[in-house]
Amino acid sequence: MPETRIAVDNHACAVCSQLDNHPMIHTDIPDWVDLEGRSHQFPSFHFDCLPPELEYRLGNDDTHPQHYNTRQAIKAAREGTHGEDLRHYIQELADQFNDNAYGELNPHTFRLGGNDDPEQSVDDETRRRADELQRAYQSVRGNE
Amino acid sequence: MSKFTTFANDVLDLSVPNGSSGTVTVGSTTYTLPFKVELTTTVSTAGAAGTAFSGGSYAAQTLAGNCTTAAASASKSTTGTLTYSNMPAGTWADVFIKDSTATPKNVIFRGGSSLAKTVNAGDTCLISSGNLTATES
Repeated sequence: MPETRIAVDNHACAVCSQLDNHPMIHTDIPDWVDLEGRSHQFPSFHFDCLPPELEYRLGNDDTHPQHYNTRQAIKAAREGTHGEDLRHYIQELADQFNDNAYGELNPHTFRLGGNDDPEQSVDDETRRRADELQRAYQSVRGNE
Repeated sequence: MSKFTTFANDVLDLSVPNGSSGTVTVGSTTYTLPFKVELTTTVSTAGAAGTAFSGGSYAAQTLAGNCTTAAASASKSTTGTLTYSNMPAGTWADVFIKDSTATPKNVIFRGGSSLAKTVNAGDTCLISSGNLTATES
């Protein structure tokens, strides 16, 4: 049965100004200023439009599964996965690397120091499977 | 009457703790660490927390390890980014902090005007480092 999705995005990307239904990253930054000096209240960004200074704040040490999944989505978007393909990719990441935090983390994919442990991290197997997923999506897109 | 700054800072370190375990007691009520940040679809008031998101991969994110700098000048901000990936659809309206007891106790909330961010399934919400700030006066 085809999925019916109602386009409810009503926020233009603060970087590219496009108003569309691609997955977005929403922030609660009260006054983000773009390169042209324009101020944006609570800006939203496409995954591949997220400014470097905000991406930097996600860190790069794989210490948090939600950060990790978002970084993977950013990477996929920059390599050409958008729209529903990106949504499906994000969902598959979530399904495989369940980061419903605090008691529901998948012990097979995340190394845990204990419930609620902020030091939870992504192991090599998780990274390998995420890379496989991404390659699979790129392959599908390449055949479209 | 006003709080002395040193006491206000202590209150903030209690309200926005960096710890991952243990308890803090205020009056006769004991709160369990870590404290967590909920995103809500409605705005909180002093009498009632907003309705937390539910679905997707949504889960309240911990403050543990994300508030490493002690309060100063009656203000305390997060030092790490709180990331909520694979969100369910809804409207991101507000934020509040709760403790980790089985039936969580609400601590502090943002309130005021709604963030009014339309969130689609699969989106990510970020509270970037330094952007969640609590103040005492």
